Amino acid sequence: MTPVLTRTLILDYVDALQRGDSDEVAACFAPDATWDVPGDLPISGRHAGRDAILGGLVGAVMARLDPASLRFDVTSLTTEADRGVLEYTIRARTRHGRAYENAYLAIFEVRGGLIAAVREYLDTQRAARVLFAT
Amino acid sequence: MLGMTTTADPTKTCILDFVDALQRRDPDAIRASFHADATWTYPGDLPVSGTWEGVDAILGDFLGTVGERVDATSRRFEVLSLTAEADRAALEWRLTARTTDGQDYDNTYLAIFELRDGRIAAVREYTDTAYVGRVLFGL
Repeated sequence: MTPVLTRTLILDYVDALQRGDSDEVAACFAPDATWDVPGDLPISGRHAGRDAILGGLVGAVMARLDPASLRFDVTSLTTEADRGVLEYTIRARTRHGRAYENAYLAIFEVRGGLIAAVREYLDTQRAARVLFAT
Repeated sequence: MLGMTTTADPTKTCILDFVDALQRRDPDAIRASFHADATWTYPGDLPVSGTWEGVDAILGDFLGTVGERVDATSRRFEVLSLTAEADRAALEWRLTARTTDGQDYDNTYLAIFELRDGRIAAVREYTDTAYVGRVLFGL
């Protein structure tokens, strides 16, 4: 896969997220894709399979947020043949009414034109304090 | 060089030279990797969080503070991936070390390096800040 296609795939994924189009988001992932989140958060660990990513991971995060308030802004995108590194900021209002803003950097491994693996890095301290505070 | 295949990409060469200098604990080579006005941004609410401006602040106040918390001879960098496009690179690495109070430290990092004229101009680092706070800073 060329860098241009990798870039296009990741930008399509971002666009689908920003539009809140869950079918399009799902279509960006391989069925056996994995997503790793570091730390000791409720969402930390490996989410294996597209359904686990969309349900277990994205679902768990969205349950904490007001979906209408969610903003997803790209800071940078660095791509090679089969790998892209996406830097982004998520801004949203939590269900408890607090402002959540956190910066993320994630590696997307691409296979056959689909996202096969993601390793996401984030300020886990802030996520724990704002997003997952009880 | 850490078992990485050699690369002709000048951006990757710069980053791998920097990692090599860190690994060898060569202060002159580490300093030479940066522009004098380079910045390094570290996430979270830790003693090392924020944007460090200038190579002296990066090497002294930032890396120096981290360095005080670990036994330097125990420190190991393992490059997990390196992605580069033009003047920007994303380096993913694992750092293992023994802290000065005897704990095992084992954490992974991903950082964006912005290069200018073959040297590091800006770094934005991302890591599990809760873990760093707990193990390195006793928070």
